[in-house]
Amino acid sequence: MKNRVRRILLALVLCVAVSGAALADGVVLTPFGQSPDAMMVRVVLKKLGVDGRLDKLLEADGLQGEQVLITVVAGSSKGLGEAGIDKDAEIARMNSVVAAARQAGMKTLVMHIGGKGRRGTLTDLFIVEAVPMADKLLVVEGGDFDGLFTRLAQEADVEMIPAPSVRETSGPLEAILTEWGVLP
Amino acid sequence: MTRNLLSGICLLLSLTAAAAEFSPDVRPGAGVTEQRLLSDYFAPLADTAMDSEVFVLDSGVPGAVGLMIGGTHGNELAGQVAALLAVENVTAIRGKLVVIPYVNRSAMSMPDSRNAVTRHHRIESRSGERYLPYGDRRTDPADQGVPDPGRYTNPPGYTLENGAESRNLNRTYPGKADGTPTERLAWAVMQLVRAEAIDFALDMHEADTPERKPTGEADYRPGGNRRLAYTLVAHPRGLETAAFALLEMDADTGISMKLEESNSTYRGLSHIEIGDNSPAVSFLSESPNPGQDRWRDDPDVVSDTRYPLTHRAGLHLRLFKHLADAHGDATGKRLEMRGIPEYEELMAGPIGRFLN
Repeated sequence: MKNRVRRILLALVLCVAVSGAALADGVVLTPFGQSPDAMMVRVVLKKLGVDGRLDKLLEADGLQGEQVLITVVAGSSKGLGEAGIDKDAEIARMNSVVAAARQAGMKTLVMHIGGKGRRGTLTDLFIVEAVPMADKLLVVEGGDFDGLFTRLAQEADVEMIPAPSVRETSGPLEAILTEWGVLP
Repeated sequence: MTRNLLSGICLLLSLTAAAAEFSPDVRPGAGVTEQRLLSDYFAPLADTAMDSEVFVLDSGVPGAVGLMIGGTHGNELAGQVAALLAVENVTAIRGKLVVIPYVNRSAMSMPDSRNAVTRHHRIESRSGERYLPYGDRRTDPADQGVPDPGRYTNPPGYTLENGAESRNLNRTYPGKADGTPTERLAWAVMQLVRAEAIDFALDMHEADTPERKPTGEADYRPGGNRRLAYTLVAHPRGLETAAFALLEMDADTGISMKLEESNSTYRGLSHIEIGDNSPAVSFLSESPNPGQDRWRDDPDVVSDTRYPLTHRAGLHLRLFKHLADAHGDATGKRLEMRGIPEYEELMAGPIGRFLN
């Protein structure tokens, strides 16, 4: 009888563990610059079977034991205005989130998916801050039309991975998340 | 005194002068199950230049109800033609499709004041010669009937510095039953959205192309504002649906579009107000129209080699399909259609092959 109860309890624990892992999926997303591009990445992740948690205003104490932080960089004056923050506050927020993520042993992936259309003074300001934060950098071609990402990645010694389109970030994302243990 | 009186009379005459009438040339296909008017949803529009035709494609099978809006701005041809392509080719097989090809008929009655684009564009359709009209951005002042204010405060209370924007339909949502004719038009659209229990709506627009006047310099300028084309604006409730649709759009057509979220502080636009004032999820799409580029001397809004009408109208039409699919995936309530021209088919020849 005791063994039977133990087996049932063990099965329950396993079930909780397995379903917990499936739900958490180990990725948290936040925009760097408050553009909606992070939602595009969330959808690419969903198609990979990864249910990334998107928190537009993620703070250092908002990390929930995830393995990977993905921040999608693109400046949006409208988005910053809606969030009620300015560019300095956004940079400070990301510095503190990335520091907390590092302390927690998480990996940080910086992405830029908007191509040339999502470059400009505000975005470039965030890019300069974001690249050195990255363990890896994933950039949709066109975004690096002037070599800014290439130069910053070289300076910060960060691996930069190009993708032809947002949709085609799927392959590199799968490889990165596999390497970092989120995907089997 | 006399001069003031004469000026007043002249102003009154100019405002009450009969506006040029615009009679839309829409040639419904077999999929259209009912033709209505906006005045069926808001009676005061009847017998005015603000009334417009509504085409219903009802499968008779329960499902989602989608709304396509063309002609919000008369000088944004591709949205109107995407709506024509739907009305003249599509059959709903689950759910219901509602299409308004020329929602601001008054704006269609005016010549383009932005770039003086030719008024009528000849194409060869399935039934022979046909002309696509090209109108203006705003309601005809004669139809508005009141002078433009110095500044315009719209129904949600947002103030625009340019009073002429009081005649811009896409600044007057959610409209006003007892407002100006343009505000009443927006009100009528909202009444339709509620009466037809619209689940999702796409308002189809055009913007400047991403190109600048060739100067021999690099065409990129940080902070430049030519960024609206190839954009899908989504109400916050539709953001994830929009993201799914854009990924499918890229896979289907190779067209990469930006996602933007409605700005909740900039009021009066369809994508925020339809979503905020009804259960419908609302979207607004933008294609690149050479006719919007002020630097072009003689823009070809039909056959431009880089931005042909087939590309632009195809963009809106395919995007609508992908929004319908993504909405169906998200909610389980589907709008399924057949007869939508494939993007590659559209791009393979003149647009008239798909118009009656």
